[in-house]
Amino acid sequence: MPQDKMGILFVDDDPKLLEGLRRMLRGKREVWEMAFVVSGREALAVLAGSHIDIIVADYKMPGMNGFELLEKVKDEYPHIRRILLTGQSDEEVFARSGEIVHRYLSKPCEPGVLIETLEHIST
Amino acid sequence: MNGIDAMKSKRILIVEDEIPTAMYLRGILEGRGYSVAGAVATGEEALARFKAEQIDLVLMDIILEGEMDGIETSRRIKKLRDVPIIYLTASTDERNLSRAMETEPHGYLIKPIDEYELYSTVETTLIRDSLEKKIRESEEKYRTLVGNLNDVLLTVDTAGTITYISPVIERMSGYMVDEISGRNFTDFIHPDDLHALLESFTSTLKGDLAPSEFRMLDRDGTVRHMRSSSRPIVEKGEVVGLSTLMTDITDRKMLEAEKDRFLADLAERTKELGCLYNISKIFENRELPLNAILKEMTKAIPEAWQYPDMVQARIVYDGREYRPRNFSQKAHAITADIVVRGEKAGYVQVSYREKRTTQSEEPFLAEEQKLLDVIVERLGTIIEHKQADEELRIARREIESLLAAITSILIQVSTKDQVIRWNRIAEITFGIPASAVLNRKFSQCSIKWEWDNIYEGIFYCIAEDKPVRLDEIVYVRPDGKKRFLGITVNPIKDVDDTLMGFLLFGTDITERKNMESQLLQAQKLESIGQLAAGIAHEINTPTQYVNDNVHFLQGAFADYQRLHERCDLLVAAVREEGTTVEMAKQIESIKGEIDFPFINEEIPKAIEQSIDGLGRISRIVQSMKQFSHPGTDNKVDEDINKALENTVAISRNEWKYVADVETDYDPDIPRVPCFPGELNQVFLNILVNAAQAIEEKNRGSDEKGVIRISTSQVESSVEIRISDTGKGVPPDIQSKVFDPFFTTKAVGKGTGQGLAISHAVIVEKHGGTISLESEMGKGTIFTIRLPLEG
Repeated sequence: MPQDKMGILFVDDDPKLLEGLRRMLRGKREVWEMAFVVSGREALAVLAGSHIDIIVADYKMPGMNGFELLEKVKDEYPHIRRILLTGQSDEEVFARSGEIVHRYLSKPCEPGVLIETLEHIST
Repeated sequence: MNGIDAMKSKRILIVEDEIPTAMYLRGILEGRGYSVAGAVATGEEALARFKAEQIDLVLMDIILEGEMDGIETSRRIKKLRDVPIIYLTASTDERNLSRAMETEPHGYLIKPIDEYELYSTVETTLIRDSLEKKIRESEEKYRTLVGNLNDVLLTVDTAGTITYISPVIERMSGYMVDEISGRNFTDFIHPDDLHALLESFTSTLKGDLAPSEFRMLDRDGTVRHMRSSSRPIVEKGEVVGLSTLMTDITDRKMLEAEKDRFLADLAERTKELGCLYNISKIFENRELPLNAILKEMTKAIPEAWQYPDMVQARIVYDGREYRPRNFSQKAHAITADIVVRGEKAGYVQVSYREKRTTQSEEPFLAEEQKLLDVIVERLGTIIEHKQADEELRIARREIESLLAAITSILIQVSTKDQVIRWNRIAEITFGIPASAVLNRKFSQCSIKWEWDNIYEGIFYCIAEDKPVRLDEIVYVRPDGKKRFLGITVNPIKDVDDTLMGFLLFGTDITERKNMESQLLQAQKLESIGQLAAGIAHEINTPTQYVNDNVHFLQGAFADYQRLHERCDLLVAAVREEGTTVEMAKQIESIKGEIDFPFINEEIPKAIEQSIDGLGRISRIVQSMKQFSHPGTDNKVDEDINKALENTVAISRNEWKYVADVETDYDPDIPRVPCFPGELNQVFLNILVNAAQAIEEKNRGSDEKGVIRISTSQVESSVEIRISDTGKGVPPDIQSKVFDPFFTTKAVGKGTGQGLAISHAVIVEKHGGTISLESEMGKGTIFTIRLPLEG
């Protein structure tokens, strides 16, 4: 994987959501190296084998939830920028996200906002 | 002869046209041990009875129905036989009174007749009559049988020497004629009577004819009463002696003495009875407190003693002394202990005010001690009654104040449909004062409520002999507003277990009902609030990808346009036979730029997934709409399978991360009459609980549980089973999960009333059942049955 491209990992339990993101972000394929996985476990496997700069995770997922995943990422790969993308408006999530998450994005998120967030966070 | 007891066998006839009075009299007399021959209403009947049987006393009402009044009837009765008559009348009419007197009545009782007065008049009359009859009978007997035979004829000379005596004297006195003849008559006369007889003898010789009575002595010294009538014997103008006819009147004298004794006895007894009567009057006055009774008794007791003015009574009871003002302590006294509930509680003492001058050491008679004992024994009983009365009064007061404190409607009705109790709350609630309904028919009191349901409740209460609960009885308040009552009908039993009536115990439950529906609403909002985030997520996710896809399609279409422009140019060039190869190269280049194979493959998928996402969004919105079905007042026929599908759809976010939902809906079940909004609420509560139970069991692992939902028809019900593979409900709380305000939720985690409300909705609103089976660590099955007929 060429070092000049930014590595972004998307984690969501809904494959359709991931496909939508992949299509929408197709235009960035020259500058971003993107990976899409459906669970926290798969995400950890990708992190172990690839260069990832940014992780975008859904909150509510079976097994390990997004928050737990990002906590692990913070511990094991502290340099990775962590974004929580969620449809939840759970106060508990808000309250704890500050220490773990760099940015909080709520679903549905406009493509422009997502792209801008990803571009900004990487610099 | 024991007068009082002998009188009990006498037969009394009551002539009285007022049935209640007749029954009252009969009751008293029989209660006192008399034998009542009968009670008749007319003079004719009285005469008939009198002819037919032995009657010893007649109680005669003066004013009677029919031809004869009481006085006329009495006259005719008297003609048949001399029987004592006591008149009863409410009238004090002078004319009647004098007419009545002509029939020589033995008594005259004015109505209303006092029990004791009746008793004493009857008793006195019977005793007196019996004595008089006895005397009369003896006299007659004497006259008819013995009279002539016992007449003794004798002659004496002027000196009193007996010159002749008829032989009858031998049988009478034991003297032989020879022993008497030639002796002076004074030898045979009782010394006490001698003086009077000699005077009579002298005056008779002088021609003054007066009969004498005297006592003579038989040969054996026995006293014989004689009556004599004498006339002078005149010979040649000169009185030479007396001719005397003597009659033995001993029997008669003795009877008279007996009569005097009886009358004296009767007077004594009357005094005693008078005293007992006064005491019983004191006892009968239920209003009188005990200390007043004791005080009155010190006044009443001396009446029975031989010299009431000289006798004083004092009572010591419960540490207090009761005595007349001028009491003076004397040595001679008789006492009797007051015994209350088997224990000595005091005593009554009777003594003379002054030292008596009689020789006797003990001035009291044994009878007087006995009388005192009787009075004091009765006093003990009265005190026991008073105490019991007092206890009863206190108990009653306590009950009354308890009842007064009750904030519910309390109506007591007898088995004869009579209202016995109607408390203040009933007055206020129905706007009907107690005075308007007490002792009237309950079924005719003008409460505006669902009488059919009330009657049905009373019927079951009586038929099944147990309290019946009537919920939500609609009634109309005095202000015209319709409200709800919760009523319990309780049977009331006597000590011997016979039904005495029933008690209606009611509360206005309108406020509670409102609160219940508010709680239901609150819980509904709570679960919807809880769902809102999940539903948002459910909508947000497809919105996210639909949006992403559309953005992609927008870009992809721009690419296509570019490609299409090149294609157009190529087509034009081919037509003009230009440099087609160059054109084709340009198209190839654009295809590469736009990654044509990618968009060619992705566009159909993007479109398909967008359609799918939009479908999901609209389905959720639809389910949400149907789930929050607006409340209906009446049941509607609902497709339960559809209702379950909706509930599963809107709660998807609650279970999809922890469980899969497997459904087995029987497509043939009929529609169920129900309140859909409330029923959906129940399904949601159970579904969310199932998801939570699985989540708690599988926390920290990737394992997913299963929620199974099935429907089927069981007899005339539709059965819904919702099972989970969660942690299970501990056995000790299984019976409590449906109880109101029982919750295992932490404070702040919602009302925790989901299952209580589910129970209320299924059981009370739908007449169905809800139950659970659970095994720790394996899961829980909720079974709901809804009846098909409303």
